[in-house]
Amino acid sequence: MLGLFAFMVIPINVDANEDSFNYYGMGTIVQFDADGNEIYQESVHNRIVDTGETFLIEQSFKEGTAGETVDADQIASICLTAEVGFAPGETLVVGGVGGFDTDDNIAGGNTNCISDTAVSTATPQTAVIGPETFQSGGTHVPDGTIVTGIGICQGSGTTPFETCAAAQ
Amino acid sequence: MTPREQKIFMFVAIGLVIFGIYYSLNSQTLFGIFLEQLGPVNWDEVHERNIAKVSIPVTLLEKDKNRCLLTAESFDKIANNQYFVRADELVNKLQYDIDKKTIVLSCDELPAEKSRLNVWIVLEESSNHPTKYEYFLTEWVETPKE
Repeated sequence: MLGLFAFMVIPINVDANEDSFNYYGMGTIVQFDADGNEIYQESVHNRIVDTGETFLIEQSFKEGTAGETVDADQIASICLTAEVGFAPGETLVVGGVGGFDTDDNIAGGNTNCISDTAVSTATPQTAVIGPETFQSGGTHVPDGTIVTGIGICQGSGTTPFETCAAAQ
Repeated sequence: MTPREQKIFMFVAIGLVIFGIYYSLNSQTLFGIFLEQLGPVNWDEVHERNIAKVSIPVTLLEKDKNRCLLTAESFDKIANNQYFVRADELVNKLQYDIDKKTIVLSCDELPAEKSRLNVWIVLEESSNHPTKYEYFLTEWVETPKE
């Protein structure tokens, strides 16, 4: 009986991928016979191969490759927020009136966003923004600022800059 | 050990086993994984990405009390699906006749003479309910061609 109990509580290290973000697509294949009647249907996820992952990263991040999504729309910045009660959520409207995009509870005139001029894709299937150094004392944030969150935003021609919204 | 001590020991051991069952159902344990295989699929615990959904048309051939014989011309595509590890179970359960291409179902499960046999398969790579499956029938609605 004690042996059974011991067996019951043996932990197992299961990969908790179910709740983690997985970028995937679902394809539905429908087969028709010669008369045009449906005879079979299947829906299954696709697998994004390395080339596809690289392509998606190059479209999304401002790494400087020509002939793709306009650079101004690509992701390349790190912005800080000092909004009280900031919490990440599905939409941008968390903490503050306009949400992370426009309201960061950091005094105007402070440039708490820094844009990377060329996101690194040196490691395959990985995009690296930064590293970026934020200074207090009026450079990026005032002295005594309590940073409550960090957001990743589109790149900006001018760096540093004030809010995530200004990057677009 | 006195009989009284034996009784106490037995009750404690039974209590630990009951606790162990409850604990393994709510935690990632070897026994929990084993128990999970015995019950039905909880689809809320399975990520959409880890479900393969297949379906074929089936048509009523004959009815004998609550036993319905149906044609299933494309059932082999389900049975041979690369993700369907436990296909043999369904083949046996539905009494698939490979020569006549027929299956047997309870008539209660049949919504109409021509219906869609749906089989949802949990992929092996799923961390919850791997390789399990369920089948169900729905009304036949032709998939429009583009």
